Amino acid sequence: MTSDQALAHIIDRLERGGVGYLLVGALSSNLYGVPRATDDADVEVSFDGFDIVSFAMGLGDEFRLDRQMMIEGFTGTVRYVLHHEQSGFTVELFRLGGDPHHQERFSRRRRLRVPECRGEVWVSTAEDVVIQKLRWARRKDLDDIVNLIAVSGEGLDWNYVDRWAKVHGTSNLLADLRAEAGH
Amino acid sequence: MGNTSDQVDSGVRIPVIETANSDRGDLPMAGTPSASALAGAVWTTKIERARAMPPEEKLLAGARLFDRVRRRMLEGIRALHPTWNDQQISVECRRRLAAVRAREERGIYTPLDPS
Repeated sequence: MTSDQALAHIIDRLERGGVGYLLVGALSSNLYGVPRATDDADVEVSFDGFDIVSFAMGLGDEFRLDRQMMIEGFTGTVRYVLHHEQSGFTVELFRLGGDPHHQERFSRRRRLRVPECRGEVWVSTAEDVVIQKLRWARRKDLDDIVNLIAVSGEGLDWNYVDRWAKVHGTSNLLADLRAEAGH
Repeated sequence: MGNTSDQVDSGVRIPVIETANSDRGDLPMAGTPSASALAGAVWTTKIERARAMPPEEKLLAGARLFDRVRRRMLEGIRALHPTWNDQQISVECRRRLAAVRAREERGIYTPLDPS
């Protein structure tokens, strides 16, 4: 099983299980920007009735759930990591928490048809990719934002992005990156 | 001027930009006007190709590109350590990827005590 097949398998299991989720992180920035290699997929999951251990066991022997949970410092989000041993690819499941932007991001998620995933998948909007990556602001996040704005900037709801950038204190960084993207 | 081409792997068309040929002696120097023009042309091509890619392909492209990168890593480790078996090479590849991940996540994630 290749990395994309491993990812499609996990998405398929989430869909079949009726689990509330959306794809975020590099997958979503690739969708709206310039694709780059990534060794992990970030998936935000509503844990209402969701048992991570049972879910992991149901994926099959090729997958291993990391027993060490991690907490992300910016938003206090809890992360679980699923390893696909053969490909080295990992899928990170983030528990949807009370962060106001994450709540709104989840409510704005949209469907994308992906034949390899046997149907449609839930993805983040382009605006929410920018807002979240501004918060992380690692070098690769800033590159992703510039690329996303250059590719998809014309269609973004900038009022929405500006509103959250003000809340998060990232407005100046956003202005710099928009200028860099020529937007 | 760099050339552009497409590479097709696992059914996905991935934009590839060839920016340099080390056998050539006429490449522009970094910081010169011609280097700046080259960078601008590469940037424009990259953006145009990304716009042309179907969304469903872009969504999975990151994982597919990772598989290609990992294959190159395995080949490189094998070349450095020709006596190693597949298991040793795989372990070393995992170690390198984990080191990159640890650097990127430093200061962002901390272990959660279940208690």
